[in-house]
Amino acid sequence: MNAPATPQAASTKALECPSCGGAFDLYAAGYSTKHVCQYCGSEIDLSGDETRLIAQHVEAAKALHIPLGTKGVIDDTEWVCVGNIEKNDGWDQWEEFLLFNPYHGYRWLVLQASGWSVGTPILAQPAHPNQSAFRYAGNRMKRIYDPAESKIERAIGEFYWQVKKGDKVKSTSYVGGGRVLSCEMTGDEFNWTLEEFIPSADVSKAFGVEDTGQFPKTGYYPQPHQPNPYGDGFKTSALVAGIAFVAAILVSILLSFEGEERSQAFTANPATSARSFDVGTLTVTGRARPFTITARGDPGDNNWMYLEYTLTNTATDEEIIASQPIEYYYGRDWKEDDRRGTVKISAVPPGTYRLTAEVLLPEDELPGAASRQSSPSPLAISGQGRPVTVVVRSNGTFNSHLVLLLIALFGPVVWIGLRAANFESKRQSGYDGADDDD
Amino acid sequence: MMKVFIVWCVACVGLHATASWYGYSPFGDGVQARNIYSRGGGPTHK
Amino acid sequence: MQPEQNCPNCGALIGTGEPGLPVVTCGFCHSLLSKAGDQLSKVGEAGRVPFDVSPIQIGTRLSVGGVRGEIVGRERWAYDGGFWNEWLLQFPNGEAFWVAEESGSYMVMKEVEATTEEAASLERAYQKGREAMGEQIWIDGTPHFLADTKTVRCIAVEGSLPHIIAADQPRFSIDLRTKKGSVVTFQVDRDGHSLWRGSYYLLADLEPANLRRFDHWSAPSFEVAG
Repeated sequence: MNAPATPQAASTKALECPSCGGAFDLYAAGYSTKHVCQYCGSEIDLSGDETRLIAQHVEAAKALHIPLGTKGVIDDTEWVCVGNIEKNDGWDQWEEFLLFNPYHGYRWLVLQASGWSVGTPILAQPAHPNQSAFRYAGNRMKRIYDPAESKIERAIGEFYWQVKKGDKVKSTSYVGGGRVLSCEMTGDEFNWTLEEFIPSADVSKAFGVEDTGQFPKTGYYPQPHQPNPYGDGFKTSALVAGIAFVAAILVSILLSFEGEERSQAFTANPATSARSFDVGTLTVTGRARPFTITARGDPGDNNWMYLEYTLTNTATDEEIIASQPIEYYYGRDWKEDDRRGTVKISAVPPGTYRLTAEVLLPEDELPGAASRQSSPSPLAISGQGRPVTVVVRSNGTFNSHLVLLLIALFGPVVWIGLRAANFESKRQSGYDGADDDD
Repeated sequence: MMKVFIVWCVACVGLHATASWYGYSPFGDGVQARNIYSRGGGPTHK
Repeated sequence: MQPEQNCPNCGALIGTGEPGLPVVTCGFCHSLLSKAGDQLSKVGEAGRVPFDVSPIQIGTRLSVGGVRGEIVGRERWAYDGGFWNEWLLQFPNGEAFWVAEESGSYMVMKEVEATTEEAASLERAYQKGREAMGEQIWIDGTPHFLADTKTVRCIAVEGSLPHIIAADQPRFSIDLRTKKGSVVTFQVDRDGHSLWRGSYYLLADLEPANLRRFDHWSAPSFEVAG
């Protein structure tokens, strides 16, 4: 050893303001070149062997939200607050707290109307500040604040450069990957800082100070890197709703394998009076079942026919009536093709049921139909047959279920999505100008 | 909050499954027919 | 050279530092001593290193490019309105880098050869001083831009050093950067000129061991054992 051993060194040095005598501790000894007295605002030069008064001021002491010398833990590292700068760019006013740790260097804790941000000075130059977009750490960074000048309104505490009230600095910012990159341009020197969002509650807890709040409680728009509070909720709820909907459809599909089916084809001829036919008999056991009655037919071109169904409980003679139009109309450039149709009947109770169908043709409504039918001409019988087939099943899915389910499941998802989109549009409203594409 | 939504989804699917099991439709007899007794023929499209 | 000798100035028993390095300081009387032959002789004042909270100390071990070295000496430099430390990082093979430490950033500097042309352009630039700011100079086939010019003075040294630096001997340095951010420093002083290529590192990236300890600060999690 070439010197007296000092296993654990002192971390601070107690000093006095040469102007007002106010006591202060030097925290970043060897790095800090200037201290501005928090009691009187006098500027003290630390770059020489002795502290030297640069400029004497008489200013009222300002209460800082995080007092100088306060320690706090952020991201498992302890920091001491050594300085505070108030800045103004003509639109906004904000504060930057300088944090120090001898092993980790410096961080900036930025306080704006809409919340807090932690900035880490980065050593390499990620890009040139005249670029409107670039890639950094696997993310595309896009410019959000055009180069603008901000002025230092006030500086208190110790700093590693000769900061002075009234100093102007030009800066521009980019956002990408949930982080912000800011570049301060002084002359030919570019200083980049990587900023990450920090909840105001974390700052409050770390330094034991009051929670100043964050957007939407304070400010007009969220910080560029503030996570969308609805973002995760939207993704998760959409996934949950999607899974639920798929499960519901699976249920419907599984239930559709059960049940009986009967069908019957029939041809109605306007020349004859035969109109009714039996479709079939089904038995419902155990629980109630839905009935699905499908019909397809050929009513003729630009014509219609009408089916009236009667579902009779063979034991009680109770009847359920339903009807189905079958139509086909077309013109030169339009078509209305309803030659198929489905009718669904809800919750048919257990029992045996016979379905009969009766066909109504347009010719049946014309005067003299009955007499034409009672003495039909051979020509009339041979042509114009209107075929129809009816299929009845003791199962089925109600579309109304699925529509209701869709609304019930995805309604909240849509609501969250709208809130998420609203947050994003507020965020965008805080940016400068229109989209910059490179 | 997500827990509430999950419970809500399960309840909705459960309700759907129950209604489907009994073939029940909340819209009365579920008969899906258009203009049941007012049909006189002729296209609706002009 | 014996591992311990009496300081020729104050008589304290001191270590004679790294065998390959010609200069050592006495921590008790702050004299700069030269190791000529087997004798220590005083050649100047080492100056007192001011109170600082640098986490690096003589004996700290760091790795650069996978090779582990040890800090054996320090020079503290000052310019108008600022200062920084340069730590001498010595490797087992005798090679040495300077680690420039300023406000929490660490730049490892390796000496590189300047061609006569490069040296000439750099000399011209430093003669111009601040007027040469932003000028382009080709070094090693890449355009570099003048980012900073400074006149600096060594205010204190400690440990084992590769050269004698007189107190208040000025050095002129110009920093040049490429668009990608590599840094090159050209230094001119009484002994001649030299060119250094620098790369930035975080302290954690250098896998430090035997860092300095402070009251009220817990050792960082990135400190390693060896």
